[in-house]
Order: sequence, then structure tokens, then C-alpha cells
Amino acid sequence: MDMHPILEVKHLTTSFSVDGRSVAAVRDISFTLHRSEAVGLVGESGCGKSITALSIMRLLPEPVARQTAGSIILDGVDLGSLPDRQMRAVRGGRLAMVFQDPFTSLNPTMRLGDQVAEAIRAHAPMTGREARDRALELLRSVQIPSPETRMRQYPHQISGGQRQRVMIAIAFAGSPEALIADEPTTALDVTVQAQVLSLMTDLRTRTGAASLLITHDMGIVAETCERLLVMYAGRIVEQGPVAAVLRQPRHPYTEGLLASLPSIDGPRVGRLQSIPGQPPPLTAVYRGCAFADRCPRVMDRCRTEEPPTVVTGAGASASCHLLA
Amino acid sequence: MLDRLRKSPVAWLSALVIVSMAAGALFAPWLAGHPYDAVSRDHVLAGPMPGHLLGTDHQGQDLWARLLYGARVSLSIGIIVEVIMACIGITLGLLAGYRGGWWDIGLMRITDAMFAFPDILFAIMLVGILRPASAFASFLTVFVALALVNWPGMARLVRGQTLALREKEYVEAARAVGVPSGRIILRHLLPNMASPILVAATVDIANVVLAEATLSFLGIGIQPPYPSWGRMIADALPYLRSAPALLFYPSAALAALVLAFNFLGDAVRDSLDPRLRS
Repeated sequence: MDMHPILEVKHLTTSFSVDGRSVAAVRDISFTLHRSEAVGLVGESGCGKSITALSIMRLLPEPVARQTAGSIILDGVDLGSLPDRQMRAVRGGRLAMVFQDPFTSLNPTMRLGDQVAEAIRAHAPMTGREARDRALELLRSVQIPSPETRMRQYPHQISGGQRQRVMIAIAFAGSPEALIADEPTTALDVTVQAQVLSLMTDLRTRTGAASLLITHDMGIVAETCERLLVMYAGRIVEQGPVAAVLRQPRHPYTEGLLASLPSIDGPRVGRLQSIPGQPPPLTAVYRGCAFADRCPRVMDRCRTEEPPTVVTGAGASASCHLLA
Repeated sequence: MLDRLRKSPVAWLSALVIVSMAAGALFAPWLAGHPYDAVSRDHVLAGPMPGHLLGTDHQGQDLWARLLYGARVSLSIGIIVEVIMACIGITLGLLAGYRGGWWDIGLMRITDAMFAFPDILFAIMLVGILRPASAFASFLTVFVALALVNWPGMARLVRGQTLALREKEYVEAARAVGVPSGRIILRHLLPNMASPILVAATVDIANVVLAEATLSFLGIGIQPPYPSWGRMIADALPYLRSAPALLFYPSAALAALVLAFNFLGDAVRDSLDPRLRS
């Protein structure tokens, strides 16, 4: 792996304005993506995963939400400094995104082939015929059966799994260097999930695109990712190589997430465990650690002091008072 | 899309009605048999008879001839005004909805102001300001007045649709692959709001044709002796008891035209929606 990261997120903070107040949904997060590396970003609903993705794509619904601090650097270029026109060339070009719901992410009034061709032509000047040929090629590469027929069909005529394959084809239309996949398999059946994930892994290794896989499924991360970022209440609370984090989670939140998974070979524990309570609402004002109220090993310090980020191993760190 | 349209009998029938009315309007001088303003003193309020296919009105003018010439006014007003106002309304609605912010606020306040104007009053004002000298000028004035009065409804509809559609995931997905705004508007927003636009437009055509009738009735629309269906309806009212046919023919023609536009609009909408295709 070369040491120069493709995507570098530094101290990203994204805030919403709620009733005139500024509320941070993503708080000072930093991470890097290297070439052909897959990184998982996990956390409960509402922890800021999708907002992180939209911040990187610069697709936040401004002025309601805006990046208030930090920078996003793609291959040495600060995306925040790019004018809109150049940012548009980056989107879908060097930086692509796969959305969560394949049922709503395709335009119902456009033929599938046209939608793939549109993504191609947004980044490469070519004739309609050339774009269609390339679209056919892309549909073939995402293993869609009888792509010639599919080209002329509309989204409602194909299954969810097929649609997600089309979305992936669209994402790869601009030969991206980095791909953000926001829960790409959440809306799919389990068997189809596995197929789509293996397709994405396959394309990633073939094209060398780095990918950030946003999910709440630890199983998917374990299967497909090399590194893991655990997000809670807008912060990255733990990160590191997947194997190391899964074997020995350092943050009580990561522990809780793992404990809430059923284990196939471990002892039967009756009911599945869960983390009591809910993540704090974005608007909550708290001192110290955001997880304190739900943490089984909470200490007095947790409610007053912000936990330090401690290096826990090679490329691994966690933010918790227990480690200090 | 055309395939489906061709298979729908309702679409066929509606198109037939509109086309035959348009043909009647276009070839009126050859089909009418009388000039629209020819007065026959011997036959006033006459029923159908040789030489007067549908009879005559209170001034002894041939009803069939007036119906044909009247179609010129009603059809052209309906279609041209509709096209003009749809263009204005769709453009402003898209701009306000897609750009948002000050564009939205500014354009929508103008729309509100236009809405607040009583439309007939606005048209009267416009006629008063422009003082059309010739019959053709007054014709044009009616066009402009009706288009200017009627676009706000379309603008609001399109703005609302734009606001709803631009939050759709496929629009966001299109932006995420770098599709330019113009293309997003033309390929992703407009086709997905075609149904409500078409439905509103076909209903609007009916309203525009009726508004022209109102203006003509008030004497500021189409100037007599030139006929329009609205004028003919207005003129027929005093003779409702003695000669109901005077009211019946233009009303029936107007109703048929409006219905044909409505049905055609429905059929076009259905054929535009890929989900309804078998």
C-alpha cells in the first residue's frame, strides 16, 4: 500500500441550523482512505454516518446544513476550495457514491441505459452511441443478465438487486478513485446482499478504487473491510484494523455493538444483548463523553471531561477515559 | 410512448374532435357557406333549413358559419394562451423551486401579487392601457391579458413539484454523479412532473376559453361582429326560452373541446408514465 492517501478527511465538522442555533451532527472527525482499501464506517442510526458521506460529496442541503470546520482532501486537492463547476466534475468522476435505496435512487421515467450513459457523459465528452456502448459494457461488468434488454427497460421492471447493480455501474461510470457506499445493501434481501457486496469487492480490487462502506452491520464490515471506524454521536470513538477491533474492542460502545450480534459458535446466551438507551439527540448539550449515559463502565470523569483519544495499537485508536 | 397513445380509443376520439375543430376553423371560409357577419332579415331566429344548416341567430346570422369562425378564436386562444402561460409558469416555477432562497421568495411574491389581482379586472386594465386600435390588436391584447393573468397557478404547481422532486434520491444520485443542473431539470425533474402539468394545462385550457367568453361578453374581448363561442353563448342568453338552439350549439362545441383536451391530456399523461405501460 502506498502511503499517500487518496482521501483524507481532517477535523470535519458539519452543523445543522436548528431554530437559529447551530447543532453539530459530525464533530471533528478525521480519517484517511488509501488506494484499493475498504474502510467500514459503523454506528447506530442518526450518529452522523450519512452526513459524513454527504459532507465529503459536498451535497449537503445548504444552507440548512453546512461544513463548519475541517477539510476534505482528495488526492492532494482540498475539495472545499473548488468552485462548484470543478466540484461537479469531481462528483461521479474521481469521487462517486452509491446510495442506500435502489428503489428510489433511479429516475422512474428514464431508461436504465440512458441513466448509465448520462453518468458517463457527465465526465467524458463522447457521442450518444459511444456512451451507450460504454454503458452496455458497464452493465455487463456488474453482471446484469441480458444487459442489452435491460438498457431499454425502466427501473420498475427490474428487481432491487438488479437496480443496485445499475447504481453501482453508474457509480463506476466515471472510474472513481474513491467510492462512498451509504448502506448499499440495507434495502436488499440477505442473499442478494452477499452478491452485491462481493460484486463491490470485486470491482474495488479490479479498479483500485478506495471505498468507504457505511453500514450498521458489523458482519458486513468483518467480511469486506480492512479497517473500521466506529462512530457515535457525530464522533469517531474507535478506529483500527477490522480484525484487531473485532477481537479486542477498546471502546465500551464498540463492545456493546459487538455484544449485540448473535454468535454462531459462542455459548448461547438466551436473549441477545443490547445497549440500553438511545444516542443523545443532536441538540443535546452535554459535557464529557456522549456515551456516558449508556456506558456500563461509566465513571465520574466521563460526565465532566471529554475523553482523550488514545493510540491502542498499529493504526488503531479509541476515545475513552478507561484507556487513559 | 406514441405506440401506447395510438392504442387508446379515448385518445383517438379526443384527437379527432380537436383536429376536426381545427380543420373547421382553418377552412371556415370554404365550409361556412355564408360570411360570419352576413345578415338575413327574412330569417331571424330560424331553425335548421336549406341554406342555414343550423338555423340563424337573433340578427339573422348563420349559426353554422359563426360556429366555424368562432372556433378560430376559441381554439387559438385556448392553445396559444395555454402555451404562453405554461412556458412562463414552468420556467418561473422551476427557477423558484430549484434555485430556492431569494429566487424563490422574490418569484413567489410576484406570483402572489398576480394571484391577488382579479383577472378580469387586470385584463380590462390592460385593454385600457393598450387601447387596441384594430380587431387584430384587440385579439392580441386578449391573448396577452389572459396569459399574464393565468400563469401564477402553473408557476405555483411547478414550484411545488420541483421542491418535492428535488429531494428525491434519484435527483441527489444524479447530482452525486456530476450531472449538470440544466440536465437535472430537463431529464429528471420535468419528466417526473409531466402528469400534474398536463392535467393542470388541459383544465386551464377550458378556463382560458371561458375567460375569453367573459371578456367578450363584457365587450372588451373579441369585437363584434366577429364571433367567438363565448360571445355566441353570451348573445344567446336572452333567447334561452324562445330559441335554446342558439345557446346549445356553441355550448356543446365548447364542452366537446374542453372534454377532448381533458381526455387527451389524460391519455398523454398515461403514455408518459413508464409504470403504467404494460
